[in-house]
Amino acid sequence: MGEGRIRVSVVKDCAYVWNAEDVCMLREKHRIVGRLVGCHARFARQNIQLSLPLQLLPEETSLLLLKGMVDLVDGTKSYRTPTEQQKQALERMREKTFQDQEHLARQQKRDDIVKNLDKIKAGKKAKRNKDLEERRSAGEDIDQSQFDEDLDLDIDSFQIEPLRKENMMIQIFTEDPWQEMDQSLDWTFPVTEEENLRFRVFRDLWEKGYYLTSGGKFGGTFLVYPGDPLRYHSFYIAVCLPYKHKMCGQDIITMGRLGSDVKKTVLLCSVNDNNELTYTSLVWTAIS
Amino acid sequence: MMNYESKHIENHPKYKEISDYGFGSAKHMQSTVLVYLDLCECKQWFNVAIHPCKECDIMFISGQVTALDRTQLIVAVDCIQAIQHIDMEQINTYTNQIQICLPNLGNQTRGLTLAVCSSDSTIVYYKMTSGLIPPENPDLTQQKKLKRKRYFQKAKKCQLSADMTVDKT
Repeated sequence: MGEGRIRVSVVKDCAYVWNAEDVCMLREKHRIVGRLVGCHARFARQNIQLSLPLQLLPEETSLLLLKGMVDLVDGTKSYRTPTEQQKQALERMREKTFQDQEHLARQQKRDDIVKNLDKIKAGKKAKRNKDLEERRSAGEDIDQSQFDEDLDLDIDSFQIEPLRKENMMIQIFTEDPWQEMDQSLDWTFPVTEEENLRFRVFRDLWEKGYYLTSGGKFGGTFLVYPGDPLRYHSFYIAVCLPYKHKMCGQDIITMGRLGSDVKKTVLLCSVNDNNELTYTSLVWTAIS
Repeated sequence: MMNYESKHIENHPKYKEISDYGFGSAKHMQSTVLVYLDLCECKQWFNVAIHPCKECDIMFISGQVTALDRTQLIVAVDCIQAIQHIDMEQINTYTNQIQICLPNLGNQTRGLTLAVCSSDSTIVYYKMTSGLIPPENPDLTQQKKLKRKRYFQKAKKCQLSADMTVDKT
């Protein structure tokens, strides 16, 4: 496994990234967008805002492998029954976390006492004065100076209740913390001619500096953005076609109409007989 | 008694002229003449001409929107005619070399326009260009939309005032 490489977990030919920092780095540094497909931990039971893991397109995964930026691991092993060693490791980790939390809780309470020391002194003084008043009313001779005497409190004399185990916070992992690092997987995409075409187009457009996402919503292969999809609308709907694939005029209109309605250019992408990528832009023209 | 056989387009002099080239299917020739007439009569383009291209076995049309505009190249296809990307690539290649074939064509636009003709004579035009051509700026689209709206409003006003003048007389 390479140093600094992003770990991609593969389950049934689907590639996922579970680490949040890696997801950010993929987007910001490598222009790989992917799609969040997981349930949001804080906002469950809704599908508007999803969370980790990030699912990668097969093209994205192949590209990252080609560039040596990722390592693939077998994600199915994360779903197996934990071993005794893993259970013990979890117990040790939880115990250490508890110790750390207990220390922090104690420190927090001490800081609260220091912060509110004046109020505590005032409160204790008022209570003391109330007792003195009651004693004076009972006939005891109490000097006025005792009422005015200030209290001298030592912070260390305060009894701080320790944190109980049932109140400790527990981390629920998104990324498998015990992913076995010595695994390697075979990634077979692309295989067919169609897959090869899609990958070549994806790679070429990515190398030109574009961001690409799946184009299924617009009836194309990819959507091509000039910048981050969160900040820009896409410019092109890339449609990958075999070079000798037959289309009729009606198909051209179908694709062109879709593009013009959403203010995008339809890009027909093929590999010609000289093994070169060719692009043809299709734009509705206002002659009509 | 008039002959209503649907061969009127084949009697058009332009059709007869291009059929003398000896290539291109009848369907393609019909579509080409249809687009030619549309550009000349409806769109009122300038310098519209039909050119044969033996290498691609097609005819394409050249013309200008206004007398000062760049020349555009148009290829007519039938709605159900099969086209392959290889065909479009070939056409694009030849249109790039058009100045050698036709030195009088002058300054021309990049790429070519595909005119898809359906059986009811509807024609839809799509511009096809090699490479990545980004879409038009939305601000520009908005400006063009407003310009068209103002044009039609003006035309409507002129028409109304013409009608009133006729009524008075």
